[in-house]
Amino acid sequence: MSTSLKSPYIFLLKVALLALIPLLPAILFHVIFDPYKVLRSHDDYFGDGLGVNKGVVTLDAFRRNNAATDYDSFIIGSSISCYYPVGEWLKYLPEGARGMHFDSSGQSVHTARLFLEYLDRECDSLNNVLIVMSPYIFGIKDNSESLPLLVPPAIYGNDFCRSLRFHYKFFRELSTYGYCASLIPWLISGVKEDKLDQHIFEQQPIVYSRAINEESIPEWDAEIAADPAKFYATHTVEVPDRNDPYREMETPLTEEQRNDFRKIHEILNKRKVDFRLVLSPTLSLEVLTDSDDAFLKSLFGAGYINLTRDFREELADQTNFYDGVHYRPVLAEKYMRKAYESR
Amino acid sequence: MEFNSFAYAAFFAIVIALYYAPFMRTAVRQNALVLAASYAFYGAWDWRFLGLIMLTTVSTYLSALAIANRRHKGWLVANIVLNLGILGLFKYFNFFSDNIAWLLKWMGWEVDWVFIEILLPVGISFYTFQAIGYTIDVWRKEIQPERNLLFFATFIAYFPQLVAGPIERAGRLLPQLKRLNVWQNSDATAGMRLILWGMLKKVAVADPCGTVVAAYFDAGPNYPTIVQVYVGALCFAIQIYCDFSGYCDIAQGSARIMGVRLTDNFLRPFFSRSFLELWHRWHVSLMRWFTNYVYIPLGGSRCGRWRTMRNIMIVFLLSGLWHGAAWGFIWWGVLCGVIYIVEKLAGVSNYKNAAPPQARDAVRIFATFSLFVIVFTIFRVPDTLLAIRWIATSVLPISIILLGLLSVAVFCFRKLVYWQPKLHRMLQFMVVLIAIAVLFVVGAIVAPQPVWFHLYYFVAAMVLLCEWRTRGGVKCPFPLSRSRSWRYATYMLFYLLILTYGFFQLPPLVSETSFVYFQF
Repeated sequence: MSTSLKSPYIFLLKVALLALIPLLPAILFHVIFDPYKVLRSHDDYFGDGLGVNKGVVTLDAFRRNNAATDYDSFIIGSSISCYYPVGEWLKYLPEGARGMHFDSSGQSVHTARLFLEYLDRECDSLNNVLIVMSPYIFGIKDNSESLPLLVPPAIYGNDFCRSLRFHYKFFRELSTYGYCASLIPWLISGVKEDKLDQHIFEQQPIVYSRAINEESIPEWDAEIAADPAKFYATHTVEVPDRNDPYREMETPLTEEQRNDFRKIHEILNKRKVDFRLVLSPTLSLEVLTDSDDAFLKSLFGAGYINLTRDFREELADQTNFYDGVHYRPVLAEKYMRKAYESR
Repeated sequence: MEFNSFAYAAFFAIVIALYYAPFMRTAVRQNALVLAASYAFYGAWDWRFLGLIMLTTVSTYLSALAIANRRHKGWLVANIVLNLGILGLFKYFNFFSDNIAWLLKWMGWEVDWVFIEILLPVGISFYTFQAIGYTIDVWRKEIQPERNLLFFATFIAYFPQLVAGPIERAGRLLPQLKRLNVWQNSDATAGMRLILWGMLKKVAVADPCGTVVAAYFDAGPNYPTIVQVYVGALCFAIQIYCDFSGYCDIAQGSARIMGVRLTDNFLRPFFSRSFLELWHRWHVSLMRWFTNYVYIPLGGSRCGRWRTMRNIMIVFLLSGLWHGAAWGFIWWGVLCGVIYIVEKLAGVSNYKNAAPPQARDAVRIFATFSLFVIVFTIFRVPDTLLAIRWIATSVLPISIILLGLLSVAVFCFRKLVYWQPKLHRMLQFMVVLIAIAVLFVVGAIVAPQPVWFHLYYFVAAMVLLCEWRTRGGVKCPFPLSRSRSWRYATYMLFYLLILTYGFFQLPPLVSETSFVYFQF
């Protein structure tokens, strides 16, 4: 046996370098193409039709425009709140309010709190906040590994480890066969086709307004207006009957969620924000338990608007919905009107 | 922290960097580092398990010292009872409660039994047996009790072999831990080769096979066709071998880089010529443990035919029970014991100290492998009756047909070679190619998918071929070229295959990546 005393560190370095070589093409591909658009700021996030992380888009829109616009009014929520028209919302706010969407996909109570904390840190003016939730949101688990739902690390502040983990997850996803099987044919031929049950392309034909970070789907709105039956033949929306009973949420708010709400209230109170916390109804007719409802009422007072037992007629009309979860701006406007005129 | 994860790679790199740091001048310092790393490694699974392993460590350490100071069998018994009690509580409590309640109910007594939610600590079966073995060795005066708690704690918790073996004897492992290990490039190279080989088997063979097995066996009793059942059973045999031996290779490789040599837990078991030989090549450390501490104390094979058979059956029953608290494992143990006894009574050789298997043993090797596939079908399928049905209707008949075809092929091959000796090598090569092609075609028919989805068949065939080529006791598990360039090309090929499945995630999509034997 050789009794050579070559340094273990040179050995480890050699192994690490050899291990890195086959990964270089994947790293270069990720850096150059950035298909998820998480590595740097992009002028157009939705144009190519690839799925994105809405939290990253929101943050980028805020950072790019805030210096010039000095936003002071924010809509916070999940993809449900994405279709709340800012233009309509501003009608309920004092003149001169400068609003934008500050939402992201699959936003839970905890991430809503994180987003508000970020605004508390970064915004000089925080005057109006509209938080849109629903019983569906309360069931969303935090620490989801799903890429569209990952919270951008900047929301937490400057945390190198979080940032590394965040980008590593996107890099890993990009480097899988499932992603490449759909991405590479698209790069070559332009044909968008999700393969292997992996959705890498945006399912909706989104039109995006960067200034207010607002998404809209005029193509679907036009299809629904023209021929609802044809649209809903391919976009199933099961609406409840007018006489169907409400059902209480199976799992009440956890202590962690209650703490998140307390923190949200603390920030809103501290900054003397004019806010509405709107709890919109769901097609499954889920309602809060009495205890949870009382808790939110006691915490947020008149700013808490529980609409889960309202709008039965609207819920029975499928043309108010894009799918089983997301309602159209026309219904969102009604919720906003109720929220602001009820106080 | 799985072996096949970037977290382990980073963890291990840090441990090695510190292990051979200039300030690590004594074995005490090295062991302190390894012990801390081992507890961190174990605690990463669940920090609550640390108390248990510390309890086992301290109790066994004190028992051994007590035995040495005052030789009283009570200390030995107490330690064995304590360790087996802990194992029994965490692993078998609910199983025995459930079965006793069923028995009492059958006898007419309704009982409101106690069941407790217990999380099974990872590796408890392994380190418990290692601790018990140590105590017995001290009692037998085969070794002196270890008086340094640090060294002993490291022996129990040594992270490369902590969660899935091999189960080491103190007389073998402790002296290696107690010396100052200095960097040896040859050890590091050999260790890295083992790690690479183990990762290849785990990631590029075991995991894809596991996905196929799950697709066929977990879809329902009437879903898989006869051929699919056989393919599933075959894939499970390959999966369990590559998964477990892959883990052991990584464990051996990790320890080797630290200058420690662990036991070879697998000695090319798929090339066994008899079931007797198989059990000298499969999970060697466990079978040696049962031989040393159960079979021999019961009398071994020196107490008459019936008692020998009884002892063999006890060993296999306990082995089955060791694997898990379920009737499936027990029936697996019983079946293995029955086949073992039948072969022993029939005078079949166990090929101990025999020359390595040759191509002319192909029929015997395939027959033994088929027996392996059959018994491990029971191991895998939770419903024993369903497993028996599948064996009777699919695995056994197809095995017999293939054995018959192989026998005919070998006969024809021998005749051809007799008349044309110069074609020997070429014919061997062609036979192997045809076998791989048939495997590929069957797989493609059974699971019609793009051709690259079946790459893992070739990887599995390559692994088995490499092990065949090195079956003669060569230390490296795969053939190594003398040319440095070709050696690096081989390493890079293996690494690319690992990346293809582990990183690129080429289908069959991996349904789980943890090592199968971690559940024991």
